Amino acid sequence: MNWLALRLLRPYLIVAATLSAVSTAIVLAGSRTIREHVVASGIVVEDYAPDRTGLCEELVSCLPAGTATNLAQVIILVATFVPLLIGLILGVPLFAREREESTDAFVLTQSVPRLRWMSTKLLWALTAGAICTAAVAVAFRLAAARYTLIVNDAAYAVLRELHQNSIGFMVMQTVFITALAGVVGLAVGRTLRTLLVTVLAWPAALIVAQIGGLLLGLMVYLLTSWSPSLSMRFGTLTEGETATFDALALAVCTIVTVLIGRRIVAPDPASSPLQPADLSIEHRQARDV
Amino acid sequence: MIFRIDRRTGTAVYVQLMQQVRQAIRMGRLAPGDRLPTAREVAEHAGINPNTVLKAYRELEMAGLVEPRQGSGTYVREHPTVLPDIAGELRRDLAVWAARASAAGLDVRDMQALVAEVMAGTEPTAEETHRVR
Amino acid sequence: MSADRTTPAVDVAGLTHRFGRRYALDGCSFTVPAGAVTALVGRNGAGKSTLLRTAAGLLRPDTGAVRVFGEPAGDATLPRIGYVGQQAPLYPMLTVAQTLTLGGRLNPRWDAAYAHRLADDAELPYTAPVGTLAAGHRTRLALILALAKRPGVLLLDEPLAPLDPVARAEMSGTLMADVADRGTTVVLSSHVVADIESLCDHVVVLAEGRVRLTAEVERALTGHLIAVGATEDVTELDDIVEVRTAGRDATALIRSTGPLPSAGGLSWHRPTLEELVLGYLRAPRPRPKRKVTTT
Repeated sequence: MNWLALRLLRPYLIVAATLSAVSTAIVLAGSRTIREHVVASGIVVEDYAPDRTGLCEELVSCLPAGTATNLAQVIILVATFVPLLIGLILGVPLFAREREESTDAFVLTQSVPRLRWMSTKLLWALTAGAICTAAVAVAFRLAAARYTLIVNDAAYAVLRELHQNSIGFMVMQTVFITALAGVVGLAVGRTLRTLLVTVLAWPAALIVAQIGGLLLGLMVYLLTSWSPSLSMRFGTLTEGETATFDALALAVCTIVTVLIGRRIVAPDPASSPLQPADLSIEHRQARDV
Repeated sequence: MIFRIDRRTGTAVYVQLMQQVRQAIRMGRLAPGDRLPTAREVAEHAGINPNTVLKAYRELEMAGLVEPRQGSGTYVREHPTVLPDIAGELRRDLAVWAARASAAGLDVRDMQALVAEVMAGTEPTAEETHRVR
Repeated sequence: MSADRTTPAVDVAGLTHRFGRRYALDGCSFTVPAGAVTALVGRNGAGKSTLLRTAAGLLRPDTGAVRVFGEPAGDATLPRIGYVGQQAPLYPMLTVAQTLTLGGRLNPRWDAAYAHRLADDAELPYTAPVGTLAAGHRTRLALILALAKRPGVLLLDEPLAPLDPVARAEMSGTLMADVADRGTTVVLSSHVVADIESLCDHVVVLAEGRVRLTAEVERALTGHLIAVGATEDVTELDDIVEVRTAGRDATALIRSTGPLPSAGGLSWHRPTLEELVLGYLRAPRPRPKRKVTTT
């Protein structure tokens, strides 16, 4: 099953890996160019640290608009959307294509239990997605994050919520999107529809993650409030901690999604018989019963 | 021997198999002591359900034409009772009859239908016409 | 393989499945004895594919169940079934050789030597991607995968339809040889009776999702008669399955185990399988009280 899962994933894996490599290169090369500009302008930029209010005053860029600020914007866009894209590339075709081409009818009538089929495919896709995004995220955080502050406008503030300057959050975003797209594909069975549903679900998922992260943060804050030494370290609601909690919330969402997928693939026999448990595509069935 | 199944005659497959074995024995293509192909061989070569082949062989066995030998297959018997000695005489009678039928405008199928009808039984009673059990 | 001959190979019990508001299967029940070759015949949309998909564990019925060698169809029965769906879906980007290797990876009882012998016989191009194969070749490859899995039951959905006459004869032969060698149970669907007449020993006639007839072929043929004659005589007969009139004459399919009557007014003959199946397919939908199925 591993061989088949990887063989089927291969074309998408190549695309995702290429996207990851190109994005990493853009981030690294971009931050290098920005550094040159910054040095030339005589500005000293320290290592990125969360919660530093910023290098520059609000709405006043310390660098004149130009190559450096443009590059910083590109890097931010990469950090914002590449995790989503990688998740979509790996997750959308994962089950939707199998159902669309009816190859599920082949693989599910070999001697492989359906749950193993689902979990093997999902596991490889999630792992691949996490690695691809991790490369971009690490490069972004270590090399570029410190310069993104030179883009100091409202759009930047919004986009920052989407990547949170956090490796964990970016990786978890890909993992969640891959799982979500996979499970939606399992239920819907159409590539295009799966893509659409997943893209629409993305902002909602981010909001849920933010709220979940916030609740987690508050909980930890309340739980640690009795001890001065603990509350110094946890529940501080700093940027780094919030991102970690948001990532945790996404992890919970991922687990829930996978559990829903499990139910679609192998429903509890005791559950309601009316549950649409079959993996058939309704309108295909209607045509040739 | 090779069996040939005509799928359009409507004759049951096992009947066709029996007819062909009878014919082969009659024509001398199968001699006493010859082994019939196994059900598997017939199944593979002619695409026939092996159960059907076995059924045909069982019927042939009951008709006294062939005999199974433990573990080695089905063989044509030493004195297959294909047709009794009177066959030649019957054949001549039939030839005369066929000539008459032919002269009366009947073709082979009509004659076969007549034979089948005669073989099927006596004249029906009035009740039988309407009620079949 | 199927040593236990008392447990039916396939046991379909009260199977009902709906797609939206349409009943694909409506209370289907029948059993397939181990070692039998059963033809599932019916018109397009009669529910044949749905039934086979359910037996293969691909579909979960709304009510009822399919048991394969006594176990509910599902993960547990997978190693014992060989299923080939309509259009024989396979991975188009894998080559023939890779597909055969895949069969070995996914099935514990895989018989690689047998698979290669069958692929050689079929002259399948090993290095060609499955997506480039002609439909007949692809179906043949799918059948080879199902056979080399060494299942107890083969569930084949219109297996011969995409094959050319030569391939059809070869594949029938392979299938029947497997039945002879291993006592494999076969359930195959078809809407062309002539295709399966020499293959099957049992028949199940499906119409509008219901079982119209389930019987051993030989017994069904000797249990029916066809009467041809004047309409008024024919329509007075008992146990009529179906009557068709043409002008003043009529043809009727009748349930009767008696001898062939040679009646004055009517001409009688034993039905062929095709005539029998057609009669049941064209028969009006039976009233609930009357039992139509003969066994």
